[in-house]
Parts: sequence; structure tokens; C-alpha cells
Amino acid sequence: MTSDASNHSEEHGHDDHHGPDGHHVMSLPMMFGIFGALIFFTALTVAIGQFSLGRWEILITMMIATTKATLVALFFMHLLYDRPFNAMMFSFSLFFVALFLGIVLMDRGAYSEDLVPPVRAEAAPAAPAEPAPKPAA
Amino acid sequence: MSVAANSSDLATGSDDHHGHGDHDPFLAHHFGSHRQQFDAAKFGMWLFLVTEILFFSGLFCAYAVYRSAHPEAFANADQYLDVTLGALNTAVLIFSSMTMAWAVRASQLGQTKLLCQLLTITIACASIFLGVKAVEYSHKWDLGILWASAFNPVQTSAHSYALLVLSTPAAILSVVFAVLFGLAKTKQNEVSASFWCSLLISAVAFFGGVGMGIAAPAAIEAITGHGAHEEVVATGGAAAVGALATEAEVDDPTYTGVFFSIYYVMTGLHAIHILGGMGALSWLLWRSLNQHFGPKYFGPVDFVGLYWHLVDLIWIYLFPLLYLIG
Repeated sequence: MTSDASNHSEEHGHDDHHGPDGHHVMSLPMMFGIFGALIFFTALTVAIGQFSLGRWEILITMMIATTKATLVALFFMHLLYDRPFNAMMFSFSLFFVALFLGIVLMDRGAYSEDLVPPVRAEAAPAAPAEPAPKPAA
Repeated sequence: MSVAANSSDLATGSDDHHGHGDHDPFLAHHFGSHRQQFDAAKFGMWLFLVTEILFFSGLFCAYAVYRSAHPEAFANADQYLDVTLGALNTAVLIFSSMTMAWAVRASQLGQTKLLCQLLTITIACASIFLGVKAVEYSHKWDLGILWASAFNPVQTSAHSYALLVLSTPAAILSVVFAVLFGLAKTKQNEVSASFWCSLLISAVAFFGGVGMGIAAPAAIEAITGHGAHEEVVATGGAAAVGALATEAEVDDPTYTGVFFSIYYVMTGLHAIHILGGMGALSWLLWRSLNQHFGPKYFGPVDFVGLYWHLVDLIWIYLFPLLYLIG
């Protein structure tokens, strides 16, 4: 398996799972299978989208999307056969995305509904002479 | 296993790397072996992909925050988006992802001709994707479904030249590639001729995408008996009473407009990534036609493939978030 490069020929590594230099070569049935699964999940998510499932809709749809993303990452992106370090880096980035989204959403939950509080009837009769306070001030 | 392989390569390879005898043009001097070069480059590519994920996560964050603030805007926006076209584009991208994975396999096995064909199909799929997107964008332009400051939806579609304008680059490129293909043919430069022919196919595929984008909703309409857009109006009969009550709070164009601001930035940035990917794939195609890739050296195909799959991955999330969840 050393890269004894001079006699690497094309017939080497055709059928076994590992090609030259220990690289993983994906088999054709596997590739078409993953493609079929991805198309199936796309059809499934579109079909589910036709019903209104209320608060479950986003959860189910995101779970299907994550299943598809996992298939792409593990097989098309070779993460399953790659050095674990690359998969680790990828997972860390997703972890930080989760932190980012989670903390920002927590923060958003701590504020009132509107950035500019509505200055409606309360403000007008109380002080008709004065203009409503600008939000910036 | 591979550590041992690398170190043995380092030991044996260090001598002939300084004498320029039969130095492999695709193995940089500072690498001991192809495997080492491959792993270093792949590490770099994954780092780049991580920055891309974090880059897009800002937009996903904007989406999440806005959704939590104004869920009604997202429910309201659903009626303006055509799920058929979104699903069609998803299928096109998944297919191109598969041909890309296949191209990596072909390069690993030294099947150069197949590699060139698969790269051409991948670029053509990207072009089809953009064609369908052009139909969507131009349709929204005609209906006034634009970003927040210009959001002014109308019932009847104004007939503008939006689609024509969006198709112009592809039309110009088709002509340019056809001319270059002709020139290369007359000079009997086979490699160039194949290259321009592939790019010509890809540029023309854009119009295939436009055709699919126009035909698909009509086909769905013919099959199901009613279109996606009419559905919203048609269901009004039963749900009119309930709808009218919520109409006042739901149908606020300001917030729906902001949804479309997010929509245009997210899909637009994704489309820019598709364009970048097409450039990288064309570069790969040129190198493949020049027989650069084989079992020993296929790194660039693998790395551009990783990028292409990431672009697909992002679309896998964009499609349900923008088109499906209401």
C-alpha cells in the first residue's frame, strides 16, 4: 500500500473498496442507492409539506433534511471512510452553528415582540402638544 | 498503516525530489508523497468548507430570528413560492451531486473519458438549476414579489423582460462558446474543441432549465387538475370565513417583504456559490481533458467535489425552510 507509484496501473483497485494509496473508491450500486434515497426523502418531505402538521411540521421537515444532509456528508463527501479528523472538524463547525443559533434565539426570546414599541392611543391623548418620542432618542 | 507509508515515502522520496530527473509535475516539492499532499490539501479544503458553513449560518440565524419574531410572515410567504420548482431544483442538484461523486470515482480509477463526460453533466445540471431559478426570479419580478423595500405583490402578472434579461448571459456565453468551438475545430485542437463543446452544452442547458421551469408547473397543473397557485385561491371557498378573520393580521406585506429579503439573499448567495462551482468544475474539465488526473493524482477533483456537495447540502436545508415550512 505504499505509494510505489511507478507501477500503479489502472486495473489496480477496480473492484476492491480501496483504490490506490488506500483511498476509498465508492461502488456504483452504493452511489445509485444513496441517490435514490435522497430523491425518496425529497419526495417524502414534499408530500408531508402538503399537510399542515402545525408545530410538528418544522421538526419533521428538519429531521428529513438532516437525514439527507447526513447521507450526503457520509457517503458523497466520503466522511465515513475519511480520516476521522475531517469529520471531527465538520462536527465542530455544526456544533458552533448550533451554539450560534441557540444563543441568538435565547437572546431574542428575552426581548419584547417589536423592536419599536407601538406608540398608539396612549401617547396621543396624554400629550397632544408634544410629538411622540423618537425610538432613537 | 498510512503513517508508515508516509514515512517510508519520505525516506525514499527525498533523494529524487532534489534532482529534477523525473519529477512528478503534480507533486509539490515540499510534500513527501502524493498521499501526504492529498491529506494536507483535503484538510485545507475542509477548513474552507467549515468557514463556508459558518458563513451561511449567519443567514440561517437571520432566518431563525425573523421566523421566531414573525411566524405569520412565513406562513403568508408560502403562497408566493412554487414548491414544484423548488423540488425540481432539489432533484437537479442531488443528481449533479451524484454525477460529481461518480466523477471522483472515475478520476480515482483513471477513467478519463468518463470523467470528462460526468464533469460536463455536472456543469450542465448547475446550468439547469440556474435556468429554473431564473424562471422563479423573473416570475416574482413580474408579480412584484420582491425584497422588503420593493415588496408590492399584484394579482395579474405584468409581462416584463425579466426572464430575457436573466437569460442574456447564458445566450452570450452560448454564442461565445460556439465560436470558440468552431475556431478550435478549424485549428484541429481536439482538447480545446472538446472543452468548448462541453461548455457550449452547459450554456445551452440553461435554456433547458428555463424550459423545465416553465413547463413543470403547467405539467403539474395538468396532472392534478389545479395549480399550486390556484389552490390558495380555490380553498378560499371553505376557509374564507376563517381566512378573513386572520387575513388582517396575516396579510401584512411589510413582514412578508422581509421574508423575501431573506429569501433573495439566501438563494442569491447560494446561486453565487453555484456559479463559483461551475468555474471550478470547468477548470477541472480542462485539466481532465489534458489527462492530468489518474489513480495517483485526483485531489482537485475530490476537493471541488467536496465543495459541490456542500453547496448541495445547503440547498437541502434551504428548500424545506423557504418553500415547504409555512
